[in-house]
Order: sequence, then C-alpha cells, then structure tokens
Amino acid sequence: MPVRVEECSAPSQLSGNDAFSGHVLPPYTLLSVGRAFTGTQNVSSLQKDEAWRVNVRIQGCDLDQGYLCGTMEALNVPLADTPVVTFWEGEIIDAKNYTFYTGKWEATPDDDIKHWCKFPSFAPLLSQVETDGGKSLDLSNYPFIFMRWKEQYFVNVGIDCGLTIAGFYYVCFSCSDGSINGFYYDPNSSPFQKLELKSANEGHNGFTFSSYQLQ
Amino acid sequence: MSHFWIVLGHLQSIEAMATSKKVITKEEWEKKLKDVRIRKEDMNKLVMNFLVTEGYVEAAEKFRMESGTEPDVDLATISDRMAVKKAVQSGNVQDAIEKVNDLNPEILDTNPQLYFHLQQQRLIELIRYGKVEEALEFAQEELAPRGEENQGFLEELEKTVALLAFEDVKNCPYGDLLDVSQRLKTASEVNAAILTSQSHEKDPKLPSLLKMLVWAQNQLDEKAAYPRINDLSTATLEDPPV
Amino acid sequence: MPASAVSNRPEDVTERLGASVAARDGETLLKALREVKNQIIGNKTKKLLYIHLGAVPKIVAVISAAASGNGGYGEASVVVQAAAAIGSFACGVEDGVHAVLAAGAVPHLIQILSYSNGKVVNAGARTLRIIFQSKLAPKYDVLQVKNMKFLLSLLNSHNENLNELAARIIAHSCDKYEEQKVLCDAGVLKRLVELLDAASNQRDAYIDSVVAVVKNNSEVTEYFLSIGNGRAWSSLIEIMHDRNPQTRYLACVCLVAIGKASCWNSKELQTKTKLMLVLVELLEEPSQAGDEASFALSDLLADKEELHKQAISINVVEKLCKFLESSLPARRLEGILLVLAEICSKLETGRYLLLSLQVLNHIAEALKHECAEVRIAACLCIRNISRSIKNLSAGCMSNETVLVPLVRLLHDPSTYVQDAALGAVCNLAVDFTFKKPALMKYGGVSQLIQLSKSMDSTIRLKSLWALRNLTFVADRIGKEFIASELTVFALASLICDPEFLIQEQAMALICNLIHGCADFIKLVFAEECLIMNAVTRQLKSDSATQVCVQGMLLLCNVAAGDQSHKEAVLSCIIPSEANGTAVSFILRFMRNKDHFLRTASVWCILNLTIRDGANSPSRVRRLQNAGIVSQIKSMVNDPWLDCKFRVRTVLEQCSIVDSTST
Repeated sequence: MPVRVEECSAPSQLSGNDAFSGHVLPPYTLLSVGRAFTGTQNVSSLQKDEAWRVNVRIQGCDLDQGYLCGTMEALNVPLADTPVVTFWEGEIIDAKNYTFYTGKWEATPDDDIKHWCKFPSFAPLLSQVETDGGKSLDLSNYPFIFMRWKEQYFVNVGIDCGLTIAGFYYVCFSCSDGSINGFYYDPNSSPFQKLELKSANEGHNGFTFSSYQLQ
Repeated sequence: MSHFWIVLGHLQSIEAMATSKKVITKEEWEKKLKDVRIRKEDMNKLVMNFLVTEGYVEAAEKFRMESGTEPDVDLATISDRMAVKKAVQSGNVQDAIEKVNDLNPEILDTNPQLYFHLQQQRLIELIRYGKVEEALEFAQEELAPRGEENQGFLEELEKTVALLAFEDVKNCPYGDLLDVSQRLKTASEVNAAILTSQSHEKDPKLPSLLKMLVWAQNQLDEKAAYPRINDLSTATLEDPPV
Repeated sequence: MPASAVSNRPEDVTERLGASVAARDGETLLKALREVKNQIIGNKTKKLLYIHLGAVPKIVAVISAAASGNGGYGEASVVVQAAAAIGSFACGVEDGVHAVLAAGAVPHLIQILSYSNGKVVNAGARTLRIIFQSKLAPKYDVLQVKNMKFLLSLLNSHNENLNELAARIIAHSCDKYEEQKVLCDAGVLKRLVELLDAASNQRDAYIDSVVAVVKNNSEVTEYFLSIGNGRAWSSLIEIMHDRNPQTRYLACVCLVAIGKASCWNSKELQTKTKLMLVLVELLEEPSQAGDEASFALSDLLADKEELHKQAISINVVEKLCKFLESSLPARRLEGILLVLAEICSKLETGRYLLLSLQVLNHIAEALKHECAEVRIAACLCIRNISRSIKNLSAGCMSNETVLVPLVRLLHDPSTYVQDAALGAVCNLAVDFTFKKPALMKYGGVSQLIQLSKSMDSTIRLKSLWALRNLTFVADRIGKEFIASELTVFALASLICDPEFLIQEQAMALICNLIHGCADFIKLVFAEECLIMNAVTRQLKSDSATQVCVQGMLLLCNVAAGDQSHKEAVLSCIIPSEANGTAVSFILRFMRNKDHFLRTASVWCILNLTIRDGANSPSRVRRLQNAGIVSQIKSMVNDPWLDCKFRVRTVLEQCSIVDSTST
C-alpha cells in the first residue's frame, strides 16, 4: 500500500510552501495514528461462552488510499502463555479504493451482505449497495466508516501459536463516539465472532494525540 | 507465491516437451527452407564484410568488381590497417604506434589498455633481442607510470619484467609472452581498435552467424528431430534419426 | 639510423621545437612535432612533462603562424602534426585542456578549418572536438549571429568531422531556453535528424546535441517530434538497439529527455518498457555506458508510479539486485541504488520485493562505502524501503546491520550524507516493535540531540523530526531519556525557532511525550513554565496555521491532565482581566477556515469540559464568560464532520445542548 510521505531535501524548501501542512490530523481524529481502543472479542461457540480482551492501536493511516493499519492484542487467549499480537491492514470502504464487496479472502457477496447487515448503521445503505455495489454512494459525510481488517502476521509469536489469521474482520467505526464494532469472518472458524471496542484514553483525563511523519 | 506458480508451469511444459519430440522429415524441412528468401545482395554483403574485416584488400577489390558490392569502408584504409598489423606481427612496435597515430591520434589516447599492450609488446621485443639495459630503462620510464594508474597493468608488467630474470627464458613461467602468438594477439587488438574507430564492427559477421546456427541446432535438438547440418564446410542436411 | 644521433628527451625535443620555429627550419620542426605527438599519445606522464616544459604555447604558435598566413613552414603536414599534438594534450588530462586554452589555441584552430587541405581540416576539427568535450572549454555563444552562421556551415558541410565538431560544440554550449530556441529556429534539429540516419561513429555526438537542444523544452521537443512525421523518434528507437553500447545508452538518454519534455504520450508504455529493458541490459557493459545507464533509468522512473509497477513486472528489481551481489565501481553502485530507491519510493510491492530478495545486507554495506554519493544513495534506499508501515511494524529494518552504519553516518563529515542519513533514521525511528532502544543503544539518540542544535536548519529540522518520530508510542524509558537529554531549555528554544517547520516538530515531539504518559505533562511547566509560555507566545503571535494546529493539540494533551493542568490551559486561552479587550486566540482559531485548526481547538475545550470533579462546573462557567461556549454553540453544524461531532460532545458536557438544533 502506498504510504503518504513528505519530501524534504533542499534547504531552500525549508521555509515557505505548505508541503507539510494538513497531515497533523486525519479527517477522523479518533482514528488517528497512536490512538488506542480496548474491548472484547466474543469467541462463543455452541459449547461455551467465551470472550478475549482485545487492545487495538492504530499505527498507520492514509485515507487517500483507503488504508489503515495497526496492531491487535488478544489478552486472555486460552492455551497461550503471552498476549498474542497481530499486525493488520485495513481497507476503508470509500467507494473509491474499496467497495462493500470483498471479492477475495473466500468471502462471497452473500457473505458480505450478511455481515454488513449486522451493523444497524448499514441498513440505510443496503438497497443502494444491492443495486450498484454502493459505487454511487457518497460516504465521505456518513457518520460511520466501514472497513475490512485483515491480519497479516503474528508480531510476537510464531505461526504455531495455535491461532489462525486466515480470516478477516468486517468493521464499523462510529465517528461520533469513536467506538468500533466488528465481526470476524473465516469459513473455517466459528461464525460472527463479535468484536467490540471503545476509544481508550490510557490513563488521561481526556483525549490525547500523538503523531509521526514519514519522509 | 507467484514464483512457485511460474516454476510449476515451467516444469509442466518441460515435461510435456520431453514426452513428445516432433519429427520433421527432410522434405518438409527443405520445403520450409525454400520459403525463406535471402537476397543475393545480402549474401554478397556478408562476404564483403568478411573480406574487409579480415583485411583481404585485393580479394575485396576483385569481389567488388565481380559482384558490384560496395565495401562500407574506404579500401585504402584497409591497407593502412594491414600495415599496422604487419608491423606488430614482425616486431616493429614503435613503427606500428606511429602509424596508428597518423591514422587517428585518438585511438591510443582513448584506449589505455591497447596502448599498454603495445608498449608491453615493445618491451617484449627488447627482451627478445637481449637489450637488457634498454629494456629496463623502457620498463621504468614508459611502463611503470601506466602500472601506477592501473593495478591490472602492474601485474602484467611484473610478469613481463620477470622474463629478464631467467637466463633461459624458455623456462620462465611467462615464457609464452615471447611466443609469436603474443604478437598476433597484440596485432589483432590493434586491428579491432582501428576497425571500431572507423565505425566498423571488429569481428566479421559470418563466423557469428555460424555460431548462431550451431546454437540454434542445439536448442532445437531438445525439442525435435530434424535434418541437421553436421559438417559446416559442406552444409549437407542429414536425415533425421527416427 | 640518423635519428639515434638526436636526443629524444622531452627537454631536448621542446628545445628543438622552439629553435626550429625561430630558424624557420620546417623539416626539423616537423620531426620535433611528430616526436612530441608520438611520445604523448596515451601517455599522461609525458603530457604533464611537456606541459611543464612549456611545449604547448610553442606548438600553438605554429598553428597561429600558419593560420595568419605568415611563416614559411606553413605547409600542411606541419599544421596537421601540430594540431594532432594539441588534441592529444587536451585528451584525458585537465591540465592539458587548461594549457591548450591558456595558449589561445581555439581561435587559431577554428581558422584552419577553412583550409582547402582536407587533412588539415580534419586534424583541426578533431582537436577542437576533443577540446569541446571537456567541461573546461568555454561556452560557444550561439546567440551571436556570426557564431551561429559558422556553426551552421560546419553542420551543413559534407565533412563528417566538421559535422561532428558542430554537434559537440552544441552539446557543450547549449543549456538555456533561448539558446535551444535559436538553434531550433536556425534549422539545427532538422539537420541533426538527417545526420542521425547516417550510421557512423559521429552519431553519438549528434544524439548528444539533440539532447542539449530539446532537454526540458517542450516547445522545441514538439517541433523535433514533428520533423519528417516523427522520423526522429523512430530513428532513435532504432538506434536504441545499436551494437555500440555507448550509442544505445545515448539513444536512451535522448528518448527519456524527449519523453519528459513532451510529457510522454500515455500510449508510450511499450517504448518506456523497451527503454527500461535496454538500460538494464546496458548495466552488463563494463564501459561508461554501463556506469551511466542506471542514472538514465532512475531519471525515466522518477515519480512515475505506473512505471514503477511496470519495472517490477519486467523483473528490473531482480536484475538490479543480482548486480549488488558482486563488487561494483562506485558510480555503478550509486546508480543501481538510486533506481532501487526510486522503485521503492511509492509502491509497497517494490519494497516487499526488495526485502524478499535479501539484499538489505548489501545496501547496509553500501552505507559504509568510501564514496559519499554511494552512501547517500544507500540512505535513500533505506529511507524508501522504510516508508512501509508494514515493514516497520515487522521490525525488518531495525537490526544492527542497518542501524550501526546508519548511526555512524549521523557523524559524517558531509552535510549531504548527514541529511540523507537523517531521512532514513526519521523513518526507522517510527518503530512499533518495542525495539526503539536499538537506536539508543548505538548512540543514535545522543547524536540526534546534538544535531538538533545544528546551525544548518535542514539538519536541525530532520534530527528533531527523527526524535519526534522516536517518541511516537515509545516506552517510558525511551521518553525519559530523550526528554532529559534534550532538556526543557532546548525544547523551548526549538518551539521559538525561526523556522516554523521546526516549531511544529518540537510541539509534536512534546505531544508524543505526553500521549500515554500523563506525568510528562509536568515537563511543560518545568523551569517556570518555559515550554507552556513558549507555546502560548507562538499561538498568540500570527504563526503558521500548521504550527497553531500542533500548538492546540499540545494544549489539548495538557488539558487531558489533572485539575491543575486544566486550570493552566484555561488561563492560557482566556485572557486575564488586565488585558480583557484582546480576543482570545482560541476564538480566532475556532473561526478559522482551516477545519483542522477548528477541530484541534474544540478538542482542547472538550478536554477542559470533561466532568471529572468539583472544578468542572467552574471551568465551564469561565468558558461561558469568555464567550467560548457561545462560539462553540455556533459551530453545531460545522461543515467538517469530525469538528461537528466534537462540538456536540462539548455542548453535552456543558449540559446546555439546545434541543432545537440538530
């Protein structure tokens, strides 16, 4: 995924033009790099009710490319002695870079609709998505952001850790309160595992922001 | 992942080939050959190219009159070039250098390796005729500075000077520097440089065409049985083995 | 041999040169000139010796005498030998070019071009051509009408040597827009296109001069492409497959220059692909063409994402990486690294491919290269590979092999190398693997802190930038180390730096320190509120918008602290009674057209109005009194979605949501 970068080489460019401006904040501050989320992933099966505690941190964001990435940490995973951390990359459904139809990862349009419909905020969009895949929707002012998060690799454990990252998450972010809901989809795992996350303030009495810029 | 698929695809096609080797009969082959038209003028050009490059002035002149094929360089320059070549072959290296400089002063100025090899040949000639003092002085004054400019030259220079250390140079490990073949090697290097400076290819085209023929036949051997040319001097098509 | 009677020591030969000129002894002079020529051709030592002995002016005098028509030895063979000797002096030795120019050879050589004797003309042309191939040669002013006339006469002559000379002069002298225009209008390009068709050694010169005339000039390039219905373009495409590597290289350079100046027709992908293939193949050549090919390739690829894609699909990366495995001359290595850097500049696939080919070690090795240009190219390569958050997250780059030499380059004597190394360090500093101490371990952080005090503003900016990235989501130990090494004084003075980009980085760094580590807020109030005061000062003065955004985010982070921190931010944004007439900067910011500035300001108020204890109602009251709450109320339908949502939260927190507004 192309990552937005800032060019700066000649000293003459140092002062003047606005080559650097506009990247301190992304359009949705609660999804900005460094922001953290905490919550649970429900992994209930028919046999028993179970949930992992989950922490997510946003590490990269390039809305022009519909790109978001970060890490996901699962805390009380059965059979694992340490928290399991994975790195994921997200596709933002912006009708420009990505649409509601996944077209890969073993997800049929039927699976897509089934999962998106689990989010109440998707209901007003359903008919348009069924007509043209949602290509004509203007989602830039919609108060929810729909995404797919696909885990790419395990950060701190080997692939023999007993967990699979074969599937991916259908995700919905609420711009107003910064909450995130999601459903894990993997034909070989139990269906509709629910992910529920809230924006976290990490010990502060309020919201704090951090940032980096690549060159 | 993509690498894997390519390799797999490759293997499959190789396997497929191994199982079905096509047989082409002499008749089919000759029929196909007839369909390829080669212009007489092109063939003549190839011959002229060979004669000019190899420096056969008289033959080139005769061939020009007989076939009407114009050589791509002034035939007079061939004589100059041959004179240089001959001078090196007979050990008159200084004479050869002056002739090259008269022909085109840029050749040796822009080709340090050739210049070094000519100077080295001069040194070899001095050693050959037992002019030890002169040889040492020449090596010191003319060749040593070149060695300072280039590590490769320095090594070659050391080997050449080593000839002086042996009473019986034939037993010196670098004795073959005194061989006629060394003169021929240097002569052909000069020849090539002059040709290049005249916008001419330094090798004739015919031999490389023959090499290409051999290569193509080897490639084809893996895929088909066909009438092969085994004897290049007669170019007869042999029947394919069944 | 009578020759053995005369000494051929350079001293004696030079002596004889002078004597025979004075004595008008043509025969001795001819012999002496031939001797000099044959001694110096190919022999740098002898050239320098003769230059030292003062032979050059003596030989030039022979030509000038011949050119002015006086002097009894003005016969052709003497002039030919003299011209050849001068040409050799100017060939490959800078001192020689100096000596020849200083002796005033050029105008005399130009004069002998009008001789009727072909040999003299060719010798003169050849020598002038050599002189004009040197960077030291003076520019030939083509804007002068008589010069242009002369140039055209050379170019239109039937003598190839004169044609080539004209081409060399043009290639050497033409670099300005109006020169290109004048040459084009005079029909130079038309003639060059004709000449291109003739297969010859001279062709390289013709291509060179085409490049000089069309480069970066779309108007002239358009015309060039129209000559003979695009004949020139197809000729060049053909020449791109010439058997001479130098010619192939020049044709590629020319096609790239034309392509760039004419903004490449998008249908030309096939040609560009061919160009890439030819240039990559040229890398196999041991000659200069092989050294330079990669530079033309990176020029072709520069900033063209679709070409990067194409380059990857035709295996350019694999082929280039193969070269890295062997030891390469500096120039070649530099060029190859630049191409790899270019291909990794935008596309993640390029970066991924390069890492999978396991050449990182070779690139890291190039960081230690003795040649500064190679070190810079290696830095660019590493910087661009590490533009991938995925790679950074996987920690692929944060190992000793890369970091140790890179940190050493932060001490490099060349500012250019330092600058390039900082670029790479900036990106590597964004490391998510909790290996950040790695950079610290190798002394990188201390050096970055040193460089943040540099007099050079670019170095200051980039080192601070790296520190800012390093503090992003860092652990406490790392943050503490950086904060204590950098000191509150230095941070405050960087906030007040004359360069606003530096002010911004300094504030962003402090934001990062606070985020996730609330107790770092005390840093802002240390040394009698040094940092807080500096930030306030920047916000109150008319700073650049991006500085204000970053400043508001900093206040926002501070406002996420305890009661006393919130109190301090409040008194910062609300002017004291004493100068109550002044409009608070935060009101100006919330009315600003920049939505980021509005959002950052609202976030700050949001943190101040969080209901977290007994003091929050009084804070809300003070905000109301200062007119800030009513300003926020007016923003309830802010066009910027993010801002609108924050405004609503603030109003909710202030418990005064107007139920009628939606």
